[in-house]
Amino acid sequence: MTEATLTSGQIKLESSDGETVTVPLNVIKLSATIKTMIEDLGIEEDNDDVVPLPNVTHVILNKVIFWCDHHKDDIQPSEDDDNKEKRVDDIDPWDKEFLKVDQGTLFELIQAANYLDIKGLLDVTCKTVANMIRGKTPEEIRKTFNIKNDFTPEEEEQIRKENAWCEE
Amino acid sequence: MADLTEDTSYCSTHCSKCFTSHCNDNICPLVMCVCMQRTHECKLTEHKKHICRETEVSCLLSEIGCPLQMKRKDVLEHLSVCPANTIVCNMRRVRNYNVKNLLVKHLNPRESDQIHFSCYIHDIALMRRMKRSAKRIDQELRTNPHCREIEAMVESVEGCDCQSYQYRCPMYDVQTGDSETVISCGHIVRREEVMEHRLSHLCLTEQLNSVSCPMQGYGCTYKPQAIELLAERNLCSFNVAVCSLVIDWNHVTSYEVDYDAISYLPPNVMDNILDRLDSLSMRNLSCTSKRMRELCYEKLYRKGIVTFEWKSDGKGKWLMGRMIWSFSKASKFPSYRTNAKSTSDLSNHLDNCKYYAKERTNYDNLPDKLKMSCMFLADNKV
Repeated sequence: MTEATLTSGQIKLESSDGETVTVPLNVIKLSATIKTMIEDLGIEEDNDDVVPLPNVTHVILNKVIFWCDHHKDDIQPSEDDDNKEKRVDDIDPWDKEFLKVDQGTLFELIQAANYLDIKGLLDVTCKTVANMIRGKTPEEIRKTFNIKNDFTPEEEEQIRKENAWCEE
Repeated sequence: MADLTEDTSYCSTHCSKCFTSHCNDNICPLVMCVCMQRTHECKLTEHKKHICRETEVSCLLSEIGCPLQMKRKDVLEHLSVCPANTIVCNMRRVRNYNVKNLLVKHLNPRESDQIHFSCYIHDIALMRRMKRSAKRIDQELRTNPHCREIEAMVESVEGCDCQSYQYRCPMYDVQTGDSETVISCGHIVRREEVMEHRLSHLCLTEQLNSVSCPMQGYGCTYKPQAIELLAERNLCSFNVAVCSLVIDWNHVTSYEVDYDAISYLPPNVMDNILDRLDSLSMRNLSCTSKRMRELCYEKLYRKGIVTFEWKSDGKGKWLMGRMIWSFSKASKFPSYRTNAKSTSDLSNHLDNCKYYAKERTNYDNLPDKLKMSCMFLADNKV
């Protein structure tokens, strides 16, 4: 697999619901999973091979490709950036608009970004979820995400009295 | 200071005095440590124990609860985020409590009053808990039928976690005067969180209208802006349920959801999300469900604080009791800038403040000599 193929070629992806999408390689290269797959297996240009993605529906796949297309020329963050403090208030306005979706779609995007290993998309979706948690009371968090309160009344009372973990 | 005398097992008097890394003496061979330091072989153990930057050592605050180990070269960096390196906030606010005002704010709620109202509820509950409550306020709240709802709010806050936590903290203090009450913060935060925590006080002070024209008492409403938050939406509110100032961060419209997706996210994704949360959010998230509590627990060493419970032995001596791990109540702020102009704004305003110039000193009763000098100074605006 040469660098030239990566910038000019195309690849066919099949979603979990059986739809095939053709994507330019320079767009889908943001997915570390697919990039590694292409590099390891060596898919030739204009090959008819289809890469199955059993965890991603075509609606989500199209959104992911749309995101990758917008970000294909971004400078890739270096490893050092991982150690930097993780901020949440620096979401790009385009991404903010892109992520104005219902919660179901947001979580499917997270799962897809995780499966396809697209770091940028995973980070920005996680930031969005973190922002949804911030500044809320426990009850508001439960309501936002429909989290079931599975504490026993005794445990809940204990946490209400002292939200801490004690070591003797 | 480490005791160096215990390691004097040098093979010769030469070694005990030799510090060169290119020593040609062949009594004891030179060896290289992992930190690239060359030393005589008999001194290697001592070097590793007290000097080597690559050796794993305990945190300097291990005695007061930090369980972490790190390379010696990382000890300093760790201190700023060490869970045992905590600070008790001693910010104070002076408030004037008046049940009539409280009732007006409750019956005619305006958004700008929300923060005042929540502060009142929190502070009255706290005063009761500290058994320092102003009897006048208490009696009025309990007997006035219009105050029933307010009384219920105070009672619901009275027993909650934040109250008992502060109650236990020895630094926590409430002083009640005739009309004014001084409330000290007393929150325990990690060293790295102090700045942001203080900022929350500043925001609160600003919203409570405490930074204002000195002529406020004469009716001036001018108020310089000291802090400007740069986020799109930066509504601050004082959240009674968590007894802390919170920022409304929600950039996303929340739709109703009928299933719980967040509890089933893979661990690495949850990790990514939790790493972006501030202490107060971790604290609140940890009381939503068992799964969330477990996930937050794993982050305690990295994001929590450790304090000790102090017990009296009954003979006037204090003993360290249980170790208590928790998340502090510091919240992270969106980008902000402080307005350095605010003090100069205030002095510029005073030049033109219509309430300032109203009263002129009456010089008539002064002795003649003094009267002349005062009038001269006033005329010449010295």
